[in-house]
Amino acid sequence: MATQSPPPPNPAADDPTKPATEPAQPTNEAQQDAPDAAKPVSSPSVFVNSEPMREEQVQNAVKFLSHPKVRGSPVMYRRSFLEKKGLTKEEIDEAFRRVPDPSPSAQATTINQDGQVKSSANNQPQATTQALQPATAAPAGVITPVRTSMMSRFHWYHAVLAVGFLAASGAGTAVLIKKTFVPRFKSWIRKVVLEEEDDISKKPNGKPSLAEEAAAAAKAAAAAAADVAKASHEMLNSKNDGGTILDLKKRYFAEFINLLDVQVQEMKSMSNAIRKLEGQTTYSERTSFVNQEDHRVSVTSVKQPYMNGKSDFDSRSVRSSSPPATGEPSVAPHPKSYMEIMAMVQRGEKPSNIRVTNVVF
Amino acid sequence: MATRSNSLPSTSPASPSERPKTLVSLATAVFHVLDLSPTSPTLSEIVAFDTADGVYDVAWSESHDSLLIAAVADGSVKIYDTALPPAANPIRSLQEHTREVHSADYNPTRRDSFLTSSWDDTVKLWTVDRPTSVRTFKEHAYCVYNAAWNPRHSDVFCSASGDCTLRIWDVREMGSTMIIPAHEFEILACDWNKYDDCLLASASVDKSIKIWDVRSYRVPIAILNGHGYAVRKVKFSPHRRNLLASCSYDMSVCLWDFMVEDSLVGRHDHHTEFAVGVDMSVLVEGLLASTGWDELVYVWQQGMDPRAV
Repeated sequence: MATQSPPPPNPAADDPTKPATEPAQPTNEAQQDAPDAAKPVSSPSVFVNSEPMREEQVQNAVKFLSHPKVRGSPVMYRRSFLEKKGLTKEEIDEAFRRVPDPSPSAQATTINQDGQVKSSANNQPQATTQALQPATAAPAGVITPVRTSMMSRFHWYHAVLAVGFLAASGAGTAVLIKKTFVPRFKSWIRKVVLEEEDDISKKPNGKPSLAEEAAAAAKAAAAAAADVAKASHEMLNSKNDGGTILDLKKRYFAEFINLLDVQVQEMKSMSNAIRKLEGQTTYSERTSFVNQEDHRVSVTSVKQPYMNGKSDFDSRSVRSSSPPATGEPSVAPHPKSYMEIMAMVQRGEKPSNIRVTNVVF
Repeated sequence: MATRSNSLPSTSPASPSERPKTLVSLATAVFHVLDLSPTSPTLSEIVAFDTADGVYDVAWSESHDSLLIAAVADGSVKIYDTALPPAANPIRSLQEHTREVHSADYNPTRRDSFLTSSWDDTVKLWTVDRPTSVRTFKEHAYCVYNAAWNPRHSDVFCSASGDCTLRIWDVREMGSTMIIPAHEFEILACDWNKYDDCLLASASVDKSIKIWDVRSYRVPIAILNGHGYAVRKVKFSPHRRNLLASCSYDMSVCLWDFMVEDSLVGRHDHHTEFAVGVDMSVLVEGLLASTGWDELVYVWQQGMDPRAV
């Protein structure tokens, strides 16, 4: 008991005072009853704070209570804060007494007078407003503190509500954006597919079916992208889940991503096959273009973001969903020789100079 | 050994009466009284009571062998008598708390009064015969999760609250006598040492258990780390001064000796869901009971595997 470290949040300033008084206390305790115990028992209770009031603590508390922002907060929270800082009841009461605002003293008396400590918190705000009026001389001085306290209370709740609104609207707009992106993506694909179909209008049956398949694959991939967006949005909302649930979701996500990668790759191969039907020369241009896009996507998106933060995740998914969309329909289809097209399709040739890099959503 | 109960259990204190009985309270409206007879290898159910809402805690009465206090989620405190048929139960329903009643504790020395603590920030003192509470202690700034009587001093109790403080109260006093800012996070349970009336333990969401001496309450005597998640309940052993048991949301029940450097004495991972209740029997030394959201109640002797029959 001789070496007592100060309570954690306090500076070491009051340390020299405490150890000096502490050893003296136990002997005093043994002789006298604790001041607020007042029991007719021979031995004093150990279950009371028998330390003298620490002046440092009281002064810190007074400074805290004098702060205008603190004035606006409910008394219960002020007391709770001081208690958490390790002040004893006497110190807190003393600090309240010292603060120039007359209302805390009225509250202290109501606490002492109540037979039971019953709904004292309810009494206190009413006592505050009532005691404020008669206690001060200048009515203007009274009104402004009341107003500022009420206004700051308003600010507080307003701030909370505003944050809630912002979060909800942000999430809503994110969902909306994704929903508009996806239809645009789909319509681009359809445009590309339709243009290709128009160009290669006199073809065998194999080709339109290929184009249709490509379109279908593109739609499926677009739907998958929408699902990813929705799932990432869900992850955004479920930020407060426990650790284990989050791990499960991450695993689920990883699997989902892998499936998506497979789909994207298939879709790419399909669309590249279509493009091949149009023109060999432009095709190489486009593939290099697509390569650049993919490369950019893979460089910018790393697997880690969805470990670190879902907001990162979300932004990357939005970003990465655009490059594939811009990659394909940007170049106009070119007519190609009929026999060449047939040969390529029959060979089922996959383009050798396309490397599908890691597209992470 | 284990039995399966048919809904989510929340606590299982052991009976102080002659036959070791286990009481399991369930989060969904039924609680069971289980019997641990020496003849049968399994726990058998004596009786089950239906309540309107989930039950967070139960306490055996010290005065009557068959009386139970149930802390119900709808804010009421119900008194049951196992000697009466289920139709006559509850014999009394006390509705004063405005929010869920989270714990109930019977006074072991006075034997006539009990405490209930609630999420409405109050602790209420009752006696079995009175229809209204005797005292209400309202000082905490947030939910009071647990209130426990001091085993030696019949008027002293402690309360653990979500406002991160432990408060020590004396029934004869107006308000709390000591405030210990025990943790940085919510404190879910507190318990007194059965052999040293000045020691108490607090279990918190910050995964630690701290042992405090009220005589020098600025710094804890010991900090027990080892749980992976919030510690839900902590109980000192009635037979050994330094031993305490705890259960946690990491699905384990741990045994600690706080006077030893490496405090963790035993660990049981028998539950497959949150372990929410643990108790040590007063009558049989070393007998532990635990329960969890996996709907299982385990009763075992310390040192053995709870899953062994």
